[in-house]
Amino acid sequence: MDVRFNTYYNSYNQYNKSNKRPQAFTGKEEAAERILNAAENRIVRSVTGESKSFNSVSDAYDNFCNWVGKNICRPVFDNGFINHIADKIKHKDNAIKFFLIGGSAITSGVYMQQTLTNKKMDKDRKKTLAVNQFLTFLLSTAGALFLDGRLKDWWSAKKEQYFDLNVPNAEDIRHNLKEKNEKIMLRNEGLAEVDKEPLYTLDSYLEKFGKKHFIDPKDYDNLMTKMKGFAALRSIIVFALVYRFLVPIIVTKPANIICEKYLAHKKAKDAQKAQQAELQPQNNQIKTAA
Amino acid sequence: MNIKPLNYNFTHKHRYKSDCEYADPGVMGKSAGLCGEKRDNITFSGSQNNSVAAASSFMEKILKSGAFQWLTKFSGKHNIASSALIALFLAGLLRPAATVALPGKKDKDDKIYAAGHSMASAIVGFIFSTIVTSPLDSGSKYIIQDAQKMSKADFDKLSEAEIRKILADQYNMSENEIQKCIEENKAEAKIVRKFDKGLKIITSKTDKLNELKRQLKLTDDAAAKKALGDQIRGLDKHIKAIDTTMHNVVEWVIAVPRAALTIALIPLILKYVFHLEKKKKAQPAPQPETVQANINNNSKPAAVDDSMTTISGFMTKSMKDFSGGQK
Repeated sequence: MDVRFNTYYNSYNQYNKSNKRPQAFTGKEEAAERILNAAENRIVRSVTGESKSFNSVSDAYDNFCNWVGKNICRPVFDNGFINHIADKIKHKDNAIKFFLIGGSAITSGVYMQQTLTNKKMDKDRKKTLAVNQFLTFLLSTAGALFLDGRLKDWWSAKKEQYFDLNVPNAEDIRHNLKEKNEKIMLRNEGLAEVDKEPLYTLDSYLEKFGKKHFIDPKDYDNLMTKMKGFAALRSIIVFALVYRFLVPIIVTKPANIICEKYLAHKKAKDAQKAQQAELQPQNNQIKTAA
Repeated sequence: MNIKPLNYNFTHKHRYKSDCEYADPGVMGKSAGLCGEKRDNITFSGSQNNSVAAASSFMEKILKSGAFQWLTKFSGKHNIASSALIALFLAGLLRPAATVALPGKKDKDDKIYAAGHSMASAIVGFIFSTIVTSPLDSGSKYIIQDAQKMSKADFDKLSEAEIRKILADQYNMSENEIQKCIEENKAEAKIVRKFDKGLKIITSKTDKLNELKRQLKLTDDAAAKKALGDQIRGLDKHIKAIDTTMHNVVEWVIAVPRAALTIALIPLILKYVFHLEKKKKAQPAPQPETVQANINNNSKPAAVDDSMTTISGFMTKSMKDFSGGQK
């Protein structure tokens, strides 16, 4: 007989909460659970040092956020525009990049507008600078999209590695995923391509069956948030790197040189025109005298 | 009798179910020891050399690090704030360092000013994005989660067995908890959404989704099942896309005020935080009236003129002074 003293109260508690078959003590389980919950709360409070005042601040913030949700988010976002955008991006991989591009376009637009309406600047310089800003935005966006696309496969592999490294029962999950896909492949045999059932990816499997692999639902929610965050980080890092670091460092100097050269060239051309304009009346006078 | 205290059970590893726990509850009930043995095998399998070699990999270290885990979680919850955080690191730290380190002695002052500008813009962007988007993110999550719950009309159509199944599957409740919940008539409060006039773009889809799921249960035809399955998947994707859109479209909404605030605050931050000021061309000596006015208003800093005393005046002035630049 193999008896184990489970000294980890929470494990027992979570186990009984999520399973229909309690581990032991079936006669007094409610009382046992109540005692365990009280002990858990006391220990959690003493470990995290959460005081009543902290809880009240946290509750107040939560209430404020709920108020924002009800009174700001609901009226602002409940419209056809949001629905339309969602419809357009629902099949896209990592849709967050479209929002980053949109945000950057708006920000660049504001900067360009400010440049063009600046009364202190020379008219030619204003135009050149605005065009420079527009081209920089285009170049940045193209570069970021290119880099994002190139990193897609590598990042997916790293995401799976991240899952394997950080989830202790990853092996079990992968085993079940493999079994599910093998069954689907058997069912798909001999079917036309259109009728074939799609195989599960790690993400789709976790979404549909992931919950049953975790005793504590919070662990599952945490994992899903992290996996979602990992996927989003690719575009976030790439776009920030290109928009906020690479392009400003690489482009600013050459753009300034080109801008200065263009202005010098324009100045010389204007001077030449002015000279010609001055010479024109003199020539006319000479012609009239002749 | 072999007694083993599970001290190592304090590690988070034992909060996950291994195969034997969920696959065959009968086996688990008869011999918990089997599961324990399997856990031991999982926990301590593999040679030490292999694990040392694996841990030495730089990428693995990053992926396993607490900081990276925190970043992925933060990014999953707050897309825009995490984007601003990455920008804070890149534009607030790396870009100034790279700008100052670039060759060229002639424009040293300009480089220091550009570095300060970059840091100020990153800091303003991060603070503004985080303050504005965090409550919006949490608020959106709250109403999206509520909108994905069932309508009262749909709930009324459910049998008790179906309610029990929903509470067990979706809310991870034990038999006792479910029983208590039903006896105290709390199941409706848990399953049904609070705001029936909530986010219509989601509630309409949730109701349709529930209807399709009901139809799917009733039908036996394979072709109809497939068509219904496709529709359900499509609606599911659409709801998730609305979630993504609602969390990220804020980036577009805050882009204009953030850009305006950045332009407006950069000179102040550069001056009072970094003690940097763009060198101006020599100006003519101040008129006697201006000097007198400055003496009278000595409670205000001499450098801040009257147009800066109100926020709108200050912002208008700063916007007028803006001569372009990178984000």
